[in-house]
Amino acid sequence: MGKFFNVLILFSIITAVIQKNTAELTGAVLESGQRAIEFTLTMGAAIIIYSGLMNVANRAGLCRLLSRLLRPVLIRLFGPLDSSTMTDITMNIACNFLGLGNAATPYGISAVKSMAAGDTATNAMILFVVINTSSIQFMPTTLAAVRKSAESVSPLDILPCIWICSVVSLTAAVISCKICERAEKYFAKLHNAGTYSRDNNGRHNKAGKRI
Amino acid sequence: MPALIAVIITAGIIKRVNVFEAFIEGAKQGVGTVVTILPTLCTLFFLIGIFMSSGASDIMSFAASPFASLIGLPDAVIPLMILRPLSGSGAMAFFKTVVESFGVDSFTGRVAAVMLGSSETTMYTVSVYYGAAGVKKTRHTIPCALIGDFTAFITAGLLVRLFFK
Repeated sequence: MGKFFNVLILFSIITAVIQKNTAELTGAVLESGQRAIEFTLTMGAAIIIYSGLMNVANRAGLCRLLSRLLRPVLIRLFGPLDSSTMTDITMNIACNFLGLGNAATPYGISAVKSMAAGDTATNAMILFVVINTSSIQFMPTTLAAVRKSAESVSPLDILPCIWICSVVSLTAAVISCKICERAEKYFAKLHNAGTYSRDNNGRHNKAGKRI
Repeated sequence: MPALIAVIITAGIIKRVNVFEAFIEGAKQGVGTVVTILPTLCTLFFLIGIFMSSGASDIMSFAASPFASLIGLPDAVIPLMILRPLSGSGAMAFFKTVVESFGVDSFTGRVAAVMLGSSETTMYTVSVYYGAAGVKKTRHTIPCALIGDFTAFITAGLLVRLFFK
């Protein structure tokens, strides 16, 4: 994220100078903080209300019930997790599915926090965040509202497309995660084997690299 | 929504939970969440603001447009591929302009809608979660998430062609 940030900022500033968009850029910078606060206020208000409501659901044992249903799938994907993390993940996925994105966020944050180990993302965390970045939504309400206001003949006729598309992209994202995990493990092993044989040979690293 | 609220409150009452207290306690945690993610959001809005206003996003979508026909997408939706992972409201605004110029029930309008509905504001999601957990080394998170988005975009073109022809 850090490198991505640097590259994008520098690229944008150079572009702005070349295209003489510097005045717009200054305006956007000044406005960005305000927009972030406005966004936080509207979204934050919803987060607070949903957190309250969901805490009631949690206390009533509704979340535990739901997470028991999803447990087999989650264990397959994430490996062993403690039950409160499992509940958080279940509720996050359930809220996302129902289109309550703002209600899903507090659960997601608490799940990620409980999976955290230092400043490096773990495999389970990555998988969870990647699942969250590929939308799995039963009913995209905002989109339907915009299509309706644009006088679409039937605003919901694209729903089957969206569902299939979401499942396909989710699968692709999860598979690519698993491939990255394997690849990293494989390269780590390769690297270790390389250094090991280099130490044994005592001089050349060529032999080590071949292994 | 009303049904959901009713179910939750009723379940709470049946289980003899102090609903009022539990609600307040949850809301308090919610306030904490909002405060933790605010700095990350400010940073991200700063980045997006600079990227969009400088013309850099236009350059990138212009550079990407030859690939549009290659992957079966109409040219007009290419900026959406770059906007979508960065900004939800930006992508929605762009969707509205597409709908106005091509029509909501046109091929282009439908592809844009499916792209929007089947992907997520990736960068925002990643920074909210990792910001809250204090993660700095994200490893393969962003590449994998973007692979997911890209798959969604290509599939969108394919499916709309299949369903509405």
